[in-house]
Amino acid sequence: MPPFKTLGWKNWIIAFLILAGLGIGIDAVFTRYIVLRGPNSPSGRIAHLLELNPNEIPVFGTSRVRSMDLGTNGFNYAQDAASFALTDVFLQIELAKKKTTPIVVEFQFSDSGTLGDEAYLIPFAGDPRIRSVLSQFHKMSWRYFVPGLRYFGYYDWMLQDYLNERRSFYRVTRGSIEYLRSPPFNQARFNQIVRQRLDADNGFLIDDSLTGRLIDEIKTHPQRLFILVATPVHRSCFHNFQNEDHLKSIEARLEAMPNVELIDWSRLPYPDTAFADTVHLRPAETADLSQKFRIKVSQILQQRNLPPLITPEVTPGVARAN
Amino acid sequence: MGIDSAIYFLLLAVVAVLHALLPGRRRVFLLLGASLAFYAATSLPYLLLMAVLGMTNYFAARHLSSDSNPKSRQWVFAGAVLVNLCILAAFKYLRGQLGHLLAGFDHGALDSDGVAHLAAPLGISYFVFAMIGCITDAYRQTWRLQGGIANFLLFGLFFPQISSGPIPRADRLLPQLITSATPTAEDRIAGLRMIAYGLFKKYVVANRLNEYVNLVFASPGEATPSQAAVACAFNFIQLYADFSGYVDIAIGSARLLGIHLDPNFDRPFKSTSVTELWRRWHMTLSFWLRDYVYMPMLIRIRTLGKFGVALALVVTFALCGLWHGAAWTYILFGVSQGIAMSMEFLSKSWRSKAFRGIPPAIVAMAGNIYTIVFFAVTEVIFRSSDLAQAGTMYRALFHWNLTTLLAYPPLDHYFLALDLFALFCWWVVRRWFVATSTKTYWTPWFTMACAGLILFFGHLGAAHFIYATF
Repeated sequence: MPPFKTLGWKNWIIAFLILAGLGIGIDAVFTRYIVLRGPNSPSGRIAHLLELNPNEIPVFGTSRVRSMDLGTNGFNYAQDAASFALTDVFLQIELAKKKTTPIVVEFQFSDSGTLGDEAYLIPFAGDPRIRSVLSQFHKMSWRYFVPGLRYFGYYDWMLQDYLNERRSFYRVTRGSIEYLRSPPFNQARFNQIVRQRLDADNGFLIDDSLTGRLIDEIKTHPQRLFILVATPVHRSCFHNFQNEDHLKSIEARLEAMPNVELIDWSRLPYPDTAFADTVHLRPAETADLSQKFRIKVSQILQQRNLPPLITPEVTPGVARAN
Repeated sequence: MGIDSAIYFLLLAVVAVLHALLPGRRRVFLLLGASLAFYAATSLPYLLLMAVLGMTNYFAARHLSSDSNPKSRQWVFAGAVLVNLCILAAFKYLRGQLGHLLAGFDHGALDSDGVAHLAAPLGISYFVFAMIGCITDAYRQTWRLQGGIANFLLFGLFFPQISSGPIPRADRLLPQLITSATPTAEDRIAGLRMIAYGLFKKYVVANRLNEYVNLVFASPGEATPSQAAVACAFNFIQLYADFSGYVDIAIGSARLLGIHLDPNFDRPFKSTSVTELWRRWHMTLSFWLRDYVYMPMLIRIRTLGKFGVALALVVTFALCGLWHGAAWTYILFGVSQGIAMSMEFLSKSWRSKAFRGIPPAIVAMAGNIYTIVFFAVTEVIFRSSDLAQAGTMYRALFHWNLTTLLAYPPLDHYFLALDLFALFCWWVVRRWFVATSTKTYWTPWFTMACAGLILFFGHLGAAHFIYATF
């Protein structure tokens, strides 16, 4: 028989079925052991959020502080570089639960305008709330519903994240603090970053509709205490601050609400050497700030006669990172 | 609609099925309809522009093919070439000015800084070169127009090739479109194999290497010489994988419809000189430039002898650079290729004497290394956004001393390891591709293996094909 007389349909079908089977199998294994590898993985956190967790104090925002730093009943749902729009969806999911525990929300002055890494939302694309935020950022795709095809282009990123956690290539875990590995402080490089910041638009840049949504959610859930935290940023972020009055009015509005505690640490006087960039502290300072934050939250809960944070056992010196 | 998008492959599948069902004469209308739909998905106004330009060229080619009056033929030829070049210049090189002009009618076309953003028509440079080629052939009477206007428009707008070529030649493509033969099983198998291999090159190799190259080119001042050298090599490989991947998909798509497009690459890494490399790299552009720019120019300056050849080479390749875009980086890249080829031409007899005693295999190997290094190094200019960035990259590349030599090369261990693994996969897949080219049995397994590698190891990285921007 000469070559190419027929297409050999039988072989095509068998090869396709093997590939499809392999795809579905790998998808299942990958989802279970890599994507949802534990409650501390980005997707694992969302899976955890969808559960009730009645006594838990959730943290929403972009902070990388590990959940256990808040206490064993604290849980950090933060997603790296995510817009407040995603935090808002997480808040909606949390507020739909019949719970009375406080909620910690990062109070940011600007919005990333992105979903961060949308790959971690893929396993939850079936949830209408997650689907809507994916669509809002034009990140929704039909293939997110096709097992075997949905992680196309993301396998390497997710595997890297998994390996990072196991082998600490990029991320470093010290005690209860997780942070990105960063090079030694370099004043010249930092000055360059500061110059870029000075040239950028500085101010309270969160869209009014998002702030309005947060205020509405606080108003409609008086049984929940909202602890809003503005984390320290470099003083250059306040250079030519466009709308100081607007920020003050929003802060005053929030502070006037009975179920809000606002912790504005944005202007804490840290030296240049404490910063990795103008909006992130270096690991040692992050570790110290996290401890300070836990003490502050404990005081607030005590003042309001709310159940306390259950303090983890911290080995002396472990939480101090270099 | 990209040539690697799901919608493109859906369109291709529908067209392939209908193509098999329709009788020969109707197929041209099916392909033309699909090509117009493909183009309209990008821009309807530009489709009208291309259709008008195509019709203008059709009537010019018809006149040149039938009229024997030399005077009128000369006028029609000059007019048609001028119209093509004006459209190319306006939409490719003077887009900013044209955008401002059009913004006079629609202020929405200007952004907040008052800068006009006007996208170039898809495949304008490929389309214009194809048109100029057939007009010139008709004028030289080496080709006569065949078929009707539908065939001619399809020749220019054929959907697998419109965005990045290969640049078609009327004498080879038009007869196939007119005949519209039923594809054989061999055509279909070869088409599927080529599409799978092309997608593999794009997603597994090009997109992956792009990450590393982008990282270094984003801040070349911070790169160590070893990082710059790795980025330089990866840039060359990425460009080849990206462009040849596109061409494989285009050629494979056409083969599914029984149409054989011209090859655009012929193992360029085997070249032993820059001259040979350009006979193996972007062949349809090189041969177009040879036939319609270099040869006519050489005939005019033949009195200058060897230096006339060198001059013609430099000018031709400067134009080749300009074809890529109105930027000094492209022009300098083109000139560097022209100078290298001129030097090779002028030193040919000297080299044959000097290398007389050396075994040919060693000379070929040295030539191969020189060619690859030269091309990879000059590709830095091609990749850079401006001359300053290219200069910084070269400073990083050639700043070798003991400290920088020992500087740790990888920017990112994990992704560098994946890049090297991708290159290993390519080596294996390439061998399999060649070994199974005549074996029906292996085609489904090869295609599915490529699909599996793309699915599990593919990288989304660069969204578009590099040459789609030219």
